[in-house]
Amino acid sequence: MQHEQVHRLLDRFAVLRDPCDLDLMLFFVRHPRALLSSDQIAALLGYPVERLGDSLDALVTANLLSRTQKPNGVARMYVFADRVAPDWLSSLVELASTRAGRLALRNALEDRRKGEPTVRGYAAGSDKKPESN
Amino acid sequence: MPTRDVVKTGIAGLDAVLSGGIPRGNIILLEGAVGTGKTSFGVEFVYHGASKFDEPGIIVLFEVSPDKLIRDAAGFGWDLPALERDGRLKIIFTTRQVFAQELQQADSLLLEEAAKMGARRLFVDGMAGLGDGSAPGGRRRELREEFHVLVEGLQRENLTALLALELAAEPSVASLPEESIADTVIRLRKEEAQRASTRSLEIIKSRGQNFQMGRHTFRMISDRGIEVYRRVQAPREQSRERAAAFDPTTRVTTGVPGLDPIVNGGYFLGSTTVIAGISGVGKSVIACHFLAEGIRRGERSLMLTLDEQVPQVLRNAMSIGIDLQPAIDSGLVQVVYDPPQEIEVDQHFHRIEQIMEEFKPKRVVFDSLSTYAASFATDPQMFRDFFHALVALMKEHQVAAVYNNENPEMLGMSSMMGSKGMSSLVDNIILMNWIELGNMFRVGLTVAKMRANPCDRMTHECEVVNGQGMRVLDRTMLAQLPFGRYGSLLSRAPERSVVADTSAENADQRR
Repeated sequence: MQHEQVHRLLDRFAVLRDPCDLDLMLFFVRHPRALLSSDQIAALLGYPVERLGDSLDALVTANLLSRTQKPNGVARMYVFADRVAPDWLSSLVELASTRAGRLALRNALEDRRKGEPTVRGYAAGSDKKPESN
Repeated sequence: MPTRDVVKTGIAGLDAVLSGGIPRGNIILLEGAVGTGKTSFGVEFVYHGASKFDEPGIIVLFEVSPDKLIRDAAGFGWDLPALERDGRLKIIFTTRQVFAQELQQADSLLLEEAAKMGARRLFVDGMAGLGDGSAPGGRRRELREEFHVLVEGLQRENLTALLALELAAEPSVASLPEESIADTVIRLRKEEAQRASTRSLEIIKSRGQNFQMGRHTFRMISDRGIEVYRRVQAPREQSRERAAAFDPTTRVTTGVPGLDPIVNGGYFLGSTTVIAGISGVGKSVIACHFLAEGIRRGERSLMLTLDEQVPQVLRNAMSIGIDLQPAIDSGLVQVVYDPPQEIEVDQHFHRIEQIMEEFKPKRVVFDSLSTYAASFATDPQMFRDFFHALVALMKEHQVAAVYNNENPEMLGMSSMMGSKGMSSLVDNIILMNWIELGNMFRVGLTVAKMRANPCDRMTHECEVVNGQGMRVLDRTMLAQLPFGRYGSLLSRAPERSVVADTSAENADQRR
């Protein structure tokens, strides 16, 4: 897929602004109902907990993910709303299923992050936002 | 008497082994090494619950990705996403740590999910075992306590839970601690037999129910799922045990001209007949006549062949003027071929049971007993058990069963059943022999045994005529000297009988 095509796809999926967002979304495509703590998801995906917390918030805000509110528990039930997700999700998943496609998406997201001085209220590239679990 | 509340697994053949199912609420430990089929078993348990028995279920995964589980299930024809959409199934990915914590918490999210959907079944794939006993005593007690807590949590919810536990190796005599805590323990195995590999299943224990002990074979079949085949030695219905008291009057005619008078008008219903002889002597020809006679009388007839494939059987029959194809087309005859190279005894016997149940033949031919013996050559006891079970099955269905048995001796026979030692099970034995007279082999037929019938044990000549088949010859028809002019016909060295010759000459002179 050409560079422009990747960007066009991401334009339609504005919730993805960071490689972590992409990896997290792909994780929930594979595990649409997960009972985990954010620490565990972060460990599985290899991201700092703070960065991952932000991606979780982004997916929840975009109504792609629901999570139970359980103040005392270690884990939360995350349910990915793939059935209500737009049909372009399948295009994205297909593209990300190859190494080349995944790299193209990640590079495009990196480009976007660099081009946006602030993302969702904290500095791009920073992992300092408090974890929101 | 209260009725038993059991959970049917829905897995083909398994509920029969379990006397109907597993008592509801039992905690089931499903143990086995890698590749024995634990995940497929557990998914099928939940799938059938949700799709057939109105019992929604939850699958908990620790390592296997749900999308792979869904993909693999689709290979068996199980549409898990459809069940998820209908709210009858939830697949939850979590960790062992979270799972253990969840079951101890009153406000567990997992149990809340289960309650919301009315789940009755739970499958947990990949439980961590308590180890092989090498853990220090204190830690081992701790692990056992943890497992106990987990089981308590599941029992509280009245879920019938299936916990898959991976075994690194076959447990020793001392049972695993998990086994004593669980209510039902099912062990899956992959067993090597020469260069083949088969899967087996054993119910180690199951509280509150009767079940059939021992190792039962199972297979995982594309588009169908798991099929369990009861151990061939396992007791069947009582009707089969009582079936020895077969009908002592009805005869099943052989269809071979000249043979019926020698066998008192035919074989009894429910009887077992072995036709023994070297290859090419005419055993399969007699079998074809037996089928053709069934067709003529409108009786359903079955031939189970290991030696020749169906087209070859049809061609052979055609060469003696018997066209089986129309009878096959009309459903009066079935010819079933099973390749003998890798016969798995439980599965093969299950197939025969199914055919008997569905087709209900009156006549059955097995071609041949010797091929079965060769297939089970490494386990002679298995062959004997199989033949016992087969005879009982045929008697239960009141079938006249004919078994061809190749005897390796070209001339004469030193034993009726070779080394099989099965003749006590057999009602009738017909010996077929080459007899070398002059410069040709002639065929001799001797009814050596006919249980509950008179039997003259005389050797009769018979012939196979192209396009016509076999007939047992009337002695008066012989152009050459009749067998009565010889002695020691089966001794491999027949001799002209002087006494018989003199009597014949005297008779000629009187004329």
